[in-house]
Amino acid sequence: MRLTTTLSAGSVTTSLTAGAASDVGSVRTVNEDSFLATGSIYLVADGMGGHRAGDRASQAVRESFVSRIAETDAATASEILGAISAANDLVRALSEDGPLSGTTLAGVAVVESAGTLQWMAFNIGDSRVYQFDGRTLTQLSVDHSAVQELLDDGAITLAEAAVHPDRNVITRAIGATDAVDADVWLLPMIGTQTFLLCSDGLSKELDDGRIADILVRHDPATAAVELVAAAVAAGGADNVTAVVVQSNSVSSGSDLEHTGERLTISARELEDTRPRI
Amino acid sequence: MFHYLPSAASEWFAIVHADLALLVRCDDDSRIDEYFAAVGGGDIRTVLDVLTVYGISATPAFALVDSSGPTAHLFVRGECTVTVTSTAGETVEASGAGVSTWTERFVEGAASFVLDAGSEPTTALPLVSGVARSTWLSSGHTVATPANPVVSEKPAPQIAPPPVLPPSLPAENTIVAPADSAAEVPTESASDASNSANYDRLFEETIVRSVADAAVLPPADEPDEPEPVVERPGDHDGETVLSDNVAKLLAGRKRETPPAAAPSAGPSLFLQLRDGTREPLGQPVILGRSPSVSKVSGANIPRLVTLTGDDDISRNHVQVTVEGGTVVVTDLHSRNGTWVIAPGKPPQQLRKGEATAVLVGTIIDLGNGSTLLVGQD
Repeated sequence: MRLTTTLSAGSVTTSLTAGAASDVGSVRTVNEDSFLATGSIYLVADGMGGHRAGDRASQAVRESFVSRIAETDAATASEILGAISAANDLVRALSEDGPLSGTTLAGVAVVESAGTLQWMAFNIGDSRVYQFDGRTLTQLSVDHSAVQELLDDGAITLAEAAVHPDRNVITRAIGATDAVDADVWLLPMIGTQTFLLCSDGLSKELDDGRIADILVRHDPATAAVELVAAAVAAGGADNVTAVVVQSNSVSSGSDLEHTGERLTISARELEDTRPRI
Repeated sequence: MFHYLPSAASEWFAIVHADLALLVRCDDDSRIDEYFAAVGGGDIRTVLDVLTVYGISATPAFALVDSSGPTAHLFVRGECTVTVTSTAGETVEASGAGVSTWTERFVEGAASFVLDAGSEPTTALPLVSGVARSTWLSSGHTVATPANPVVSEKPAPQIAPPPVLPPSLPAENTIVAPADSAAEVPTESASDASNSANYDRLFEETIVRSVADAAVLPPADEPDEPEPVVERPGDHDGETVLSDNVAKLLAGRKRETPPAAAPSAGPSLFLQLRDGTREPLGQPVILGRSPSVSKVSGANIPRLVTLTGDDDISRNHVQVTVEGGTVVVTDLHSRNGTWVIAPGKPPQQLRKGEATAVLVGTIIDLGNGSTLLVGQD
């Protein structure tokens, strides 16, 4: 699955290349993951709840974004928050006439703000947003999970977290409460940026080094397929979904990377001497 | 610093920037921007070009003074006068009356000067850079003398030398003073210590809850007993479950979280950028060359405003929020710093990372002429 989109606002133009892949895994019979990779919106939702409830929950999130966000333009941050809130309402409604269902959501969107484009990352639950700079993989999102809270408290180490019995317990989800708060990041669009969005079926099977190795070798579309294949091969205990999106942004503005050192007073005076009339 | 006498109904405008002062009669307001741009350019010849661009007969009456050097260079045309007081105490008056073009004079050792087109006595207001409807403009930009007309106009007991300003201030500062408004720029000198001290309390006080703190989630509750929902087999089957006690956990958090900041003071507070656009302060605003925010919780996402065209501005330079109806400015550890110029106060550099409350009318200066005005409708 390969997608290319070009978006622009003000002085920034960005072209997006994306790929997505999903697999039921080696153990499960139903794939409860959903994803969206189109236009300005890229997301992964990992549904939970028996009897296909998780399936429907993650699809409700996808549908909420599809119906509310225009495909061709950059969204706004409030539109994204609105779609998340609407998704929460949809999943709550699902639970009313069926088993309790919920879903995670991890995504990035190109949003327009004050005449420029930004990456907005958002997360609820334990699906992940990773940033890849061509060399290093960095986890941008912070899991809403029991294990993450133990980690934050220093009660367990990263190594202990990987095998902790409660590592499937999440503390925030779409559909869990009447109102849901996403964690949000806003990043300037500069040069080449790559994001990986994935369900925990991928991040629990592959370590960061392995993920980075696959990302560095392939274009986004191939990388998504290769990542899912590698996670399934490594065990595939859960549904595995990956969305990889890469942006190449060009700004006609000034140098965004480096802050200039202001000239000292004397240097300024040397340069600013006016001609005497 | 210049002082002017506001005159709301006047066709005359005082336009000043750096060392250039222009008093011009302007029936057609559309040229004001051109005039200000020319004055802002710093070259007196450019200003003359702009004034005379439609020919001598269409040139408005004006008085123009360049005081950048020790010798003041002045032009005056039509029914107005320029009076220059030299350091020796002598006064030289130049008038445009009876001349079909203009009068040009050089005055050595100029200490101060007054541009007058028939003023009415009101209170003189300060002006560092900007445009105001006015028929009278004065400069005490060098050492003030007792003859300085500002002295008699101002309630201040004495006129001290102008404040020692950071290098980029205020010469690079651009503000447009509304004709009737109160001062937009410092009226007190830096040496006016007793008075400053009173206000410093207002401007330097750090508020208890920093914006950064507010944006970060409260420390996580330690789930003492993470109560698994399902019986887990020996090893993990990868199934994600939502913990039973999540609701309790969340409820616990809600109590800790301070009540969501009400849309305080209404949406009327705004930040006016240099190009005239207004950013409402209903949500936090982060300004910089390439701003970003990290892990904020859903409800109150900051708005990012990119300031282009100046490499001296840091990627995340300054944050402006409204807390309890008060505008709070925080320098985000910018490389070159942020100054705030409260109404009637000298510029004050913000301590990096420290939230500082400011008044409406305050100018936030990021250096090199990048200024923001805190306004209220």
